[in-house]
Amino acid sequence: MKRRLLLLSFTLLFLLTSLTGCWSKRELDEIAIATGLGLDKTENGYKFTVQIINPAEVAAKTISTRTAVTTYTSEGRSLFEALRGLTDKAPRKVYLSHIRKVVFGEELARDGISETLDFLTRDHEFRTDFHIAVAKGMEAHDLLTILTPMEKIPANKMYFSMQTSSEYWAPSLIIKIQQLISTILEDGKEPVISGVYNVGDIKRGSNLSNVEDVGAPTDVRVDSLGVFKGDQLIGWMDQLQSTSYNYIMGNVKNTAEYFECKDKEGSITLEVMEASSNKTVTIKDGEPHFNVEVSVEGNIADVECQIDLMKLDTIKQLEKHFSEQLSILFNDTVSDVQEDFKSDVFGFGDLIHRTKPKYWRTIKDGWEEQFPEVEVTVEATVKINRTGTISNPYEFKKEE
Amino acid sequence: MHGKEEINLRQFLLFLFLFVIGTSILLSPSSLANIAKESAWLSVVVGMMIGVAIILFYLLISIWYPDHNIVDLNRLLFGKWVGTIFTLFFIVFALVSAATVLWTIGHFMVTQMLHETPQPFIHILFMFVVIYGVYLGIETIARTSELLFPYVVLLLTIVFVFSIPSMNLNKIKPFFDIGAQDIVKGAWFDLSISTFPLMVLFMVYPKLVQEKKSVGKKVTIAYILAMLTILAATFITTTVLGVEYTHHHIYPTYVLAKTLNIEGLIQRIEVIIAVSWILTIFFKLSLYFYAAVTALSQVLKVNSYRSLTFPLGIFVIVLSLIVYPSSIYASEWNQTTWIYYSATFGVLYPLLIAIATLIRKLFKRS
Repeated sequence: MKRRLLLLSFTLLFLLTSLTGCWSKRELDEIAIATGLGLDKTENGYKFTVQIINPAEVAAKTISTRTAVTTYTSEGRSLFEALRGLTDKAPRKVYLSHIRKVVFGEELARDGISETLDFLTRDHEFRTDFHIAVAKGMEAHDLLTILTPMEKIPANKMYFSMQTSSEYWAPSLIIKIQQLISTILEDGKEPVISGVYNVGDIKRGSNLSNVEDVGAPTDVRVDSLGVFKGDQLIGWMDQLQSTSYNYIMGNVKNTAEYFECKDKEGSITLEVMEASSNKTVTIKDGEPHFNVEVSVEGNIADVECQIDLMKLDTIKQLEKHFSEQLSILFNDTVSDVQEDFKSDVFGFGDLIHRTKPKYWRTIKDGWEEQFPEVEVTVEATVKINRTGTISNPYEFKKEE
Repeated sequence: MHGKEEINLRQFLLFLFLFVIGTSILLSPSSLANIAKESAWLSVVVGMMIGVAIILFYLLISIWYPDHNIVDLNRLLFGKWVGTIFTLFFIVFALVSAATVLWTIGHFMVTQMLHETPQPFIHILFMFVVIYGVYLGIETIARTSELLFPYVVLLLTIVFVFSIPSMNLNKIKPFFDIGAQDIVKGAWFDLSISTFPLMVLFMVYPKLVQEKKSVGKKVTIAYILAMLTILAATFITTTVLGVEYTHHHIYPTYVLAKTLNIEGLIQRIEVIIAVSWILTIFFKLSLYFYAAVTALSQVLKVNSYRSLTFPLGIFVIVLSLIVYPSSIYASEWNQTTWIYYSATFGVLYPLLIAIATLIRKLFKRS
């Protein structure tokens, strides 16, 4: 009995001291939770900007004159050095697990981002669920200082803007680090990263008065795609090109598609409910030919011209008309990308690799030069399912 | 703690399952993606087919000698001196394996979760539980396995099932594009961590499990189920993360659990998922350790192996601290030395037993 008691107390003591989990504990008031990260290039290294939550402000019930986030910037020869350099500026140690957004400055992106990707995956505090973006035409540092309305934390605002718009608006795209790294590493595929930029005055944007205004004069936008070759940014696609890119890659979930009416007076807008794409490759005389079929299904959402929607023929005609318009747009985009960027962002090389591995081995090394010359045909088919809650458009009399 | 210990067949099958997936669910996907690239999953399939043959071979040996464990066998077949030397080799093998497994879990915890905790501390904590478990006996461990098995299966099912939506088969195309040589090499590697060490289980099996009816079928099924789990882990990590990304990570299965996001509702659950690996590794480690301790006690003719658990446990902790100087060493060792080391005990040694048995039979007849 005595022995048991002794053993028990020894065990309890052992558990008490060893299982407390206090080894490297950090209380909430000892860490600075970072939500956004900006990476810029300097002359001899990197500029590292973190956007840190000001916990008292985020949770506050009363309106105060302090901002919900603070940014700290530090420079270093490597990213990790810069991160640790932050400790002499920020009062607490920066905690990176809640990062929502990593933004590369355009200059850094044009120089190549591969060196930074190592740190972003090697450090154990990073998770993999943050979005990656490039600050279009500006430094990432400036972008992170803009305060946004609605969402108190600007990095969150960018995160959610991108999340919603990638679901309901064709030009935008979410890129996560795992995708980015795989795309850079694999042959016959080049990455795109969505661009973020500001509208309005940056100085004003970093002031609290920006969010006191109803219209928030300075804000951030997320709707353009940066084309990369390897790990270097080489150019930007405009909104139409970005839309086509997403259609061809099968990324579109739901969007609005604007078409002109046949007589060029007024327009019809389609709410795209479903879109899919199928890429195939055939080899003729040793040359690859690519065929992309994009099928789009949607409902008529907005009619701004006189048209008789109640006829089956009209719908058929519209479908044909829309398909043609989209096909032209897609084909133009592909040839623009081939000419202007010479970067295989569509992954055509990868398609050959996956489906015709033997042939791929013969052309692999020359693919970069071959890509701008290959033949690609894109064919879009539009299907109209419903016409909304009203039948024909109203015939309003217009004042001449 | 008196009398002969016994475990039933179901408990043995659970041991087999947990032992196979033990460390390999964490380690295999990365190395396989490196060796066999897009065909990593194929390597596991090939490994499974070879593995079934191996496992049945082990079983055959234990059917020949239903009342002998490895120590008895060595003495019976190779005589007192040579047999003892073989047994000592076996003990060293079990101890080194135990140390590497302990190192793996320690390294996993330190790199992925408890970044600032010193690794030895985790080793000590983990090993104390193992020592305690082995001290209480194999029956206790077996019952624990029955108790915890559902959790392991549940957690693994969660990762696997909810990863299905993010799978992209294109990432492992082209199928069969890699030479048969690399596939077999991958299979060999997978066997070396999952199957060959099962030899250690036969220290437990023949004497302790009394039920011998339709054992072959049940063991095969349990083994195939375990290998299917590894197949699923490899297949899913490579299709979700991509081959390159998988092989650049040390613990890709954990990264997979990190990416898990069910409609924004269930996310950031990787630590809960990791519990399942900690459990499987606990059993693998316990079985290695149990085999080493009981074998040594038989060699030393100690009445009860229990007095050896504590000193040998301390030895394993110390060994685990020096067994791998770094993770780079570990992965190189796994791919160069370990595959031969474990094959020596997993293939060569059983073959030797079979040959010795045949010779013995011949002599008896003449």
